[in-house]
Amino acid sequence: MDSVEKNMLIGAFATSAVDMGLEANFTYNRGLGKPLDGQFPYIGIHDAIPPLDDWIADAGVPALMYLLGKVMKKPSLIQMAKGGAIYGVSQLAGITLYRVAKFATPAPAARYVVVNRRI
Amino acid sequence: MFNPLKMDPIEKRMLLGGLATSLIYYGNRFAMDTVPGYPQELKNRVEPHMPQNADIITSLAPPATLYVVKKIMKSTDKKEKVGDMAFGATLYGVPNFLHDVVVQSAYVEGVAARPAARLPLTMAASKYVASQNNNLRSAPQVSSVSKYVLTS
Repeated sequence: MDSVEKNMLIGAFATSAVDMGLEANFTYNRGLGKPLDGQFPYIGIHDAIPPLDDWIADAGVPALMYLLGKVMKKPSLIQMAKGGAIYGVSQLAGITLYRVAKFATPAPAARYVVVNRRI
Repeated sequence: MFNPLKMDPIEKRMLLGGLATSLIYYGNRFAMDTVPGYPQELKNRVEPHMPQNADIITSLAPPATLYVVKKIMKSTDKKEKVGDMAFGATLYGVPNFLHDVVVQSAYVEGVAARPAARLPLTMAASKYVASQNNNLRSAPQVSSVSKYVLTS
């Protein structure tokens, strides 16, 4: 693996680390029985759009690395930002498509209720 | 200024690999949630701290498959292109797998750390209290212990 690929992998793991930190905090509290829904940064924007914590981790972290790389004139940081962006853009695109599909599909439970009412 | 349309072809192929892996991963998640006959084996977990089997497969199989395809390819040009896509898939798939393991572990630890639920009081609202309430003129005190109801 060359140095560019190493830097990109570091950037992807750094972005993922912030994402997993935020998500692990959320799920740990949900496991405890104290859900953090609606609290910063776990704020839902729309049912079909990823919540704020995903935007902070998956778009914010690579953007920050890119800006730092430009300001400090460090090509390695820009390479890390690109690795982070590949992880972040893929994650955001996947979550958005998943949410849009879920949003457009009626829930099985709702259909079950409707059928029962007819009976 | 960064312009995504003027991306390097290698970076574009890497992004394509990452996006393809993500689509496979979330496509499977959607199928898991909506398809009634989704195989239970894929929903199971090897260990409680691990993500579901299907999540592991969809995170790690695409980069592995692309690396195998790269090895099989004979044309150097195509080999390079598939290699770039495989690296892009790795940039998404491997961190995503670790992400899933950590998040699932955090949930399991959270459930383990949850304070024990208070057991319901078996003696408080007994049927004996209910039968005695017929003779009371005041509102029944459900929360009180039965002996106080009896003596009132």
